[in-house]
Amino acid sequence: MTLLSLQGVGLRYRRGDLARWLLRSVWLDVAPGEVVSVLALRSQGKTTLLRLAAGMVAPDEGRVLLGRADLGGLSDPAHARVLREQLGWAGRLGPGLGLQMLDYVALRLTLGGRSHRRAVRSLALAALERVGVEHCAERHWGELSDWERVLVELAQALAGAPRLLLIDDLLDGLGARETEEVSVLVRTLAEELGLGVLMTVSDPEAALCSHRVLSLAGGRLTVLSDVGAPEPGVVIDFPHGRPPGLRDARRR
Amino acid sequence: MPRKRLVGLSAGEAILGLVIEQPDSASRLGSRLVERFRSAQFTRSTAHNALSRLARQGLVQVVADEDGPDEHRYEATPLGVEHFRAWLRACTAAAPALREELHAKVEFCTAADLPQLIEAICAEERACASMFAAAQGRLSEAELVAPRCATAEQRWSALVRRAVLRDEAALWGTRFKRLERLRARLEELGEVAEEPAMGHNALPRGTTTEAGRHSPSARIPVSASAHALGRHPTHVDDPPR
Repeated sequence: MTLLSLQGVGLRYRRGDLARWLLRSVWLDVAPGEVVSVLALRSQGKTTLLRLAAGMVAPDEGRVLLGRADLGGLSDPAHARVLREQLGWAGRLGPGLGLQMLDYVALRLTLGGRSHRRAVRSLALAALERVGVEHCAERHWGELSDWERVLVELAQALAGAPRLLLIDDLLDGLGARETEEVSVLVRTLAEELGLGVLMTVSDPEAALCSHRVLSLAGGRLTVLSDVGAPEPGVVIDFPHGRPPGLRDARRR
Repeated sequence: MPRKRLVGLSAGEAILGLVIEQPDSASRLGSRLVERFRSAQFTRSTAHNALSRLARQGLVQVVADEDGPDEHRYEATPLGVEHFRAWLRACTAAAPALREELHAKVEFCTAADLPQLIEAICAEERACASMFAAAQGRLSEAELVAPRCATAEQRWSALVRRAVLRDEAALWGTRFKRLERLRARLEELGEVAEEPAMGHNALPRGTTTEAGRHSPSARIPVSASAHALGRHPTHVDDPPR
């Protein structure tokens, strides 16, 4: 089963008279429970690829399917609903507002149509707890360490219980230990919650926990590795303790 | 044939380490060497040669094997152990020689060679991708082993192995990205070489001739086109006439 499917997607870049293909014939599938990493240097179209996957940019050729819905054919309200209900986006920009982190995460839920204040706050707190940064709930973005920001961004993206998680260069420039921890966490979350994850990275080490690694350069996507579809219980090292309910089945 | 580029680890030290870890027969040491240092692409015959060299140097010795009568078992001598500890703890301040065959090929290539060179880089990219995938696979196997370790010693070796495998996989991935970049550079050079007026970019204004502007330039050496990009200012060819 495929969650996200980019089918022959291409996008032209236009600035005045200049027009060139930023992405060309991109074919990419993400299944539930699968982590796919796109390894690329800067200005190769990484963020654009994620924006295409979220339907925020319309492709010049090809189409983008999320589940069975063609994102290009949706009305604005329908697209907004898809964004709210099915997608989580973790980037590096933060809220851009003077919010406490609990409110930042709660905001995501309020946009998702939830309005009961107490329920929203407890869900938001649960999201922060899940990635281990509940101590940041009452702090502001500017007061957080880089490491805490990464985790808060993940919590914010997960709060709405999405089916597809888009992670834009979140691990870029982290230390060895942090890189490993976040990438293992992402994989654990994917396999445990059946989330599809499409993640852009600029460091190959950040891609090591992925089921599939692709390289994006010159507008083309090539396969670097394909470790295979997820099997239950493959992940072994849990940075925040073994998640409850995960089966102890091991590969082989 | 696998090419050895980063001239660093010799089979001798690797074998000596394996013998100290666990005395073994020559053939088993061979397969352990190949298995353990996959990316180094050692062969079994390398192991045999290294073992006889180590024996001549008195670093390993043959002992009778009580289990299998038909094969000799090698173990390290006290001198060998001492030599190995010294090697392990020695300061390796100098960078290993980077004998990058590809760099030499690029240095010597002409515009006419570019397509084949670009094709060769593509092939190497694919090879690096499969090495990356293999290292990633070994890493996920190693990660399954780590939590099952009973003794502190086993756990330690699982952890150091994991650190090595992570670095190795990342190195292959990085090499893949470097090759991709080098190829993009060469493809750009190819485009520069195809521009008819390229030879004149290097000249002051007013020296262009009509004949020069339209002359064929497929055989212009890369050094000239590199100059047009502002690199290698040492050598400029005369504009084609």
